[in-house]
Amino acid sequence: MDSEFITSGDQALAFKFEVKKRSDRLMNYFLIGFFFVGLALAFFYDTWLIAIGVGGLSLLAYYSVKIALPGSNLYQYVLSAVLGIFMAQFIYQMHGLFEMHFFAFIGSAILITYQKWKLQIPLTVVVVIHHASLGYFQDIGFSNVYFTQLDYFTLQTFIIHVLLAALVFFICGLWAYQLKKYNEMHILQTIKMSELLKEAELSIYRKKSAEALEKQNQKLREISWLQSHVIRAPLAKITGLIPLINDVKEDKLEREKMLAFLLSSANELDEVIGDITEKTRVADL
Amino acid sequence: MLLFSAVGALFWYNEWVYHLPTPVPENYKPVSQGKLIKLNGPLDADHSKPLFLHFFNPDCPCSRFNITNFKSLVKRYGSQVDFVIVVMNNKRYTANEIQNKFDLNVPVLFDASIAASCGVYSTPQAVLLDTEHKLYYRGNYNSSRYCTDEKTSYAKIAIVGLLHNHTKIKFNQLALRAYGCRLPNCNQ
Repeated sequence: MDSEFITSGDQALAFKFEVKKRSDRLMNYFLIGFFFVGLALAFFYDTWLIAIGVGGLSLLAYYSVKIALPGSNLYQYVLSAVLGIFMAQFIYQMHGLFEMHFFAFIGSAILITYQKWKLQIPLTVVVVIHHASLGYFQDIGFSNVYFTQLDYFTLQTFIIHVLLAALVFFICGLWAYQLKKYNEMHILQTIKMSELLKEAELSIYRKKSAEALEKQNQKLREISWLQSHVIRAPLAKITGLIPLINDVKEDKLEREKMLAFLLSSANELDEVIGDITEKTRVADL
Repeated sequence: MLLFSAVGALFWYNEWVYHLPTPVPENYKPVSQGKLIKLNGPLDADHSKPLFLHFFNPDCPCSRFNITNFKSLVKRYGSQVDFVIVVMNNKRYTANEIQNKFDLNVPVLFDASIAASCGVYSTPQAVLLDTEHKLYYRGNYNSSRYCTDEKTSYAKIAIVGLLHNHTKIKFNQLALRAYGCRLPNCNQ
């Protein structure tokens, strides 16, 4: 019975826990998948040290925080930064292949599952620092960095690039926020609905009780009618006979006749009372 | 924080390693510009067009990354210059396998002695010989790893210079000091 009366706070908490558990499970697959993507990319330009070194350190950072601080959500923020680092790693491994920049967007989309807009922040910071520093190096003529194969990566291109990336992160953050908000609203509505349902059931029960009560009252009225009318007849006879018995004190024959009438009326009264008792029993009073 | 610093250090280390020029082999003999290069076989006989030798090692990441750039040069100057790929690898590759990697139908040679006679000790390296087979240019393709920097597209500048009969073009150290992978037979 207790489980039916879980408060809305408890339900919201249970929901959050479920989201976290499900998302954590998904992250295990994604992170290991990312690590293997790094290994696969290493075949192109023999970037094994980066694939194993950076990929391994990223996994170590995520799992060490997760295991060391099980009660904290810090590991989720580390995850966000790690997804940014994986993007940098893949860009490096493919020597600035432009398409590798899309991994920032993939990371951003993955983070929506936690339904926390704040998780977009570490990823954004890593991406901005990575792009700003390498873009700057490339722009000042330090050409030997693996950032972009495009020769026209000017400040204007950089600003457009970063603004578009920021827009994607903002939208993913917005979806995460809205998902959380509407899920909470949905939980509240579900709780309200169940309360309304309970109230409706109670109202039906009350209505049924009132009807039963009315039926009982009807029986009681019938009993009352019996008492007032049917009992009164033999009682009236008895009350009438008693003065008559006094009048015929001398006449023995007449007196016995009156007493016989009195007995008959008393029996009649007894029958009526028995009838009332039976009716009362049937009415379950 | 420590782990993130380690990640940064790894990137930096890799950048640093790639930034270093290829070590010069002990028994290296420099070959100066203008020297006549003696080639073997059919290459020696053909003096109709300038000859561009591309020193390529399929196992060298830089060489693999350079494929696109080499293809663009062949596409642009293929009619005016004869391009030849010289494979610098101890493993057995067939000419067909190499041509498939480039998706080009250019001659493929496996004669490692060409590298020594041209003074090449790394991959990828470009060697351009004029019609008399005198060394016009030996060096890198570009100072940028992506070969996108037009100002330092040395191999292209050399081809254009030769085609326009510029007898002498001065190339700086970024062009002439070899970057990239060491040759497999120099590793020992």
